[in-house]
Amino acid sequence: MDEDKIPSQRDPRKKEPEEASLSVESDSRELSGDGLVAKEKTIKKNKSDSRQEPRPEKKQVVESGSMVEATRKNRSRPKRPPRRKGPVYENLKEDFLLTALTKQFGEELLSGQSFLKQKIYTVDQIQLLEIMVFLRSDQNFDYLVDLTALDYLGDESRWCLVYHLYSHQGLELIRVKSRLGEGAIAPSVSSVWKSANWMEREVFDMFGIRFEGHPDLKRILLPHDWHGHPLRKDYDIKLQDQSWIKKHLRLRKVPN
Amino acid sequence: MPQETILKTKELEINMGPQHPSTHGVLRVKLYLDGERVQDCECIIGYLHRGVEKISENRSYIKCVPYYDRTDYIAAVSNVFGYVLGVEAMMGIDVPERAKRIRVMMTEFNRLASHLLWLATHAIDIGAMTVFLYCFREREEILKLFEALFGARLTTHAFRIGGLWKDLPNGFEMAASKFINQFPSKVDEYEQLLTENRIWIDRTQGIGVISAKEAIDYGLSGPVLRGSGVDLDLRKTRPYGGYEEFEFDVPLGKNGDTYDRYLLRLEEMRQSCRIINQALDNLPEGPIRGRVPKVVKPPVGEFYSAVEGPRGELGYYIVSDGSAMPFRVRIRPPTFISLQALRKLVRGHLVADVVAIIGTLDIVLGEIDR
Repeated sequence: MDEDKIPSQRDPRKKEPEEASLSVESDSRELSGDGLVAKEKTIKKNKSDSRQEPRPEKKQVVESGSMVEATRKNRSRPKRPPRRKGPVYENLKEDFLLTALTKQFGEELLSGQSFLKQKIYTVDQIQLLEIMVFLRSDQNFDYLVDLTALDYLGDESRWCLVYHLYSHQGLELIRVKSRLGEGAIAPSVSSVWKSANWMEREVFDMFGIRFEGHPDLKRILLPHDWHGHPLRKDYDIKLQDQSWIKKHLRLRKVPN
Repeated sequence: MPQETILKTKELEINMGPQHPSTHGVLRVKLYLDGERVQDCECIIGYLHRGVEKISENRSYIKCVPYYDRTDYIAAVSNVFGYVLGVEAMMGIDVPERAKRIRVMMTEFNRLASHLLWLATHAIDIGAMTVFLYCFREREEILKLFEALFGARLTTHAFRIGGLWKDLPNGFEMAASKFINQFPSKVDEYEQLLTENRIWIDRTQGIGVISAKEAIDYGLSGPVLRGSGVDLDLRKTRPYGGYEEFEFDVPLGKNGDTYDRYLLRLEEMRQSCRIINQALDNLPEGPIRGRVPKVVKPPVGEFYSAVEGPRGELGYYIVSDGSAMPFRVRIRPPTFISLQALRKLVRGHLVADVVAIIGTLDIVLGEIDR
């Protein structure tokens, strides 16, 4: 019942002088889809209100002006449901592969989710290699599409290795994720898929994650004597290895 | 000092590249030779590394787009396509039908341009000069179309999140259909020069053979994978961006050698013509851009969107933390992964064949190094 009232509550505001900004808002409300943008716009609007008055306190703003009152009314009402639900992570239910995995490896360290219909399996580092071998040999995931890492700086386990696997028989693409603590060594899957070789080297080059059992773990894109790993979140985009540049490019001062 | 043997034999190590005309960019291949036979090789890459993935983390979602043009500059249109599709899927943006059709059409034009450049350089590497000139003649026409629509020939910044920048200019459809109607006969012309040419057959048949099983294991994709007979074309298996509405065949090779891959790419060009014809025939009227918020902020989540580029599976793994800049964009470059197989492919061949094999992998160093 509340939902029906919302437009009428909002309409009076539209007749306010600030037509330009409001039309933008109505635009965004219709298309935003997930309520995120709509929320953001209301905040923006508050800011524009505050511009009209000479630097008021937040509470003062709430008490003055018809437009703001409308905002307050909006605020006081229970949270209205977003128009269209944005995508969220959902737990996998009755998933064939997840059942097969839990049957083999126990369900304590395993979980399955989906996001926008893409399946994600989160596994523990200890079981990673075994699970990969299992996926390759028993479940026919014969094609390693991609291997990369994410840097969650500040988390307890900083790294997250991400594998994309494809099965030519099952015609299915899945994603396997595994968290890894800083300084920990990941198992190499280059013995399972040959294509992992360079991708692991790239992850080592960019993040500094070491892989155990890799045949030739060395830098691949950056020079071999470069210091630092650029895709780490604490590596600034302007940062460069000054000593390397001095040595090889013979520049005294490196421009930023 | 006792002289036991006059001639000493040992493995010869030579560098091919980084500045070598047939490595298609700045690729350095260290070859270990026994006589003229290649025993082993090592690729040294990274000369063109610009840190596109790092730059993406420091730009807003919209500002990232032109950088992906510059990864694979031969197929700039498909590059942008993969990323744009990913962001649209995360945001739930609907793309109008007209924009979808034009996108597919332009991607296929780009495939033609890319394959033409591949054929031109591949042929000149092996010694067929005429084909080189012919191919550039046709590619020029496609680049003119690009310029008319996108305003640029090479780094096109073709698609925007939500659709296109501009609608087709006046006379574009006529110019495009005129080109596409005569193009199949041009492909026949190339075939006349090469397909039954004795030298061409000698230089390509049985060179760089890879079986289907190994091709999968090495993570090859695109024409190189299909050349070995593996039926994986993302346009068919995981249709994206409107490809499900088009009719076309996916050619497959049998022997997995350089010659098969050559025939396959030529056939792909003909199929691309079919797709473009279908797109031109019933191009619906309407808007060219969906409704996109001013600030593109995908919800917290992750998405892997892959397209079938001219070189293979080009994937974008986009991770969003809810802010206006991506948390991470990983580009899955098809040729970076294919190039690993070079070591396997060249073993036992002559040095001259290495050139043919690098050509058949169709590498672009801008994409490999990113």
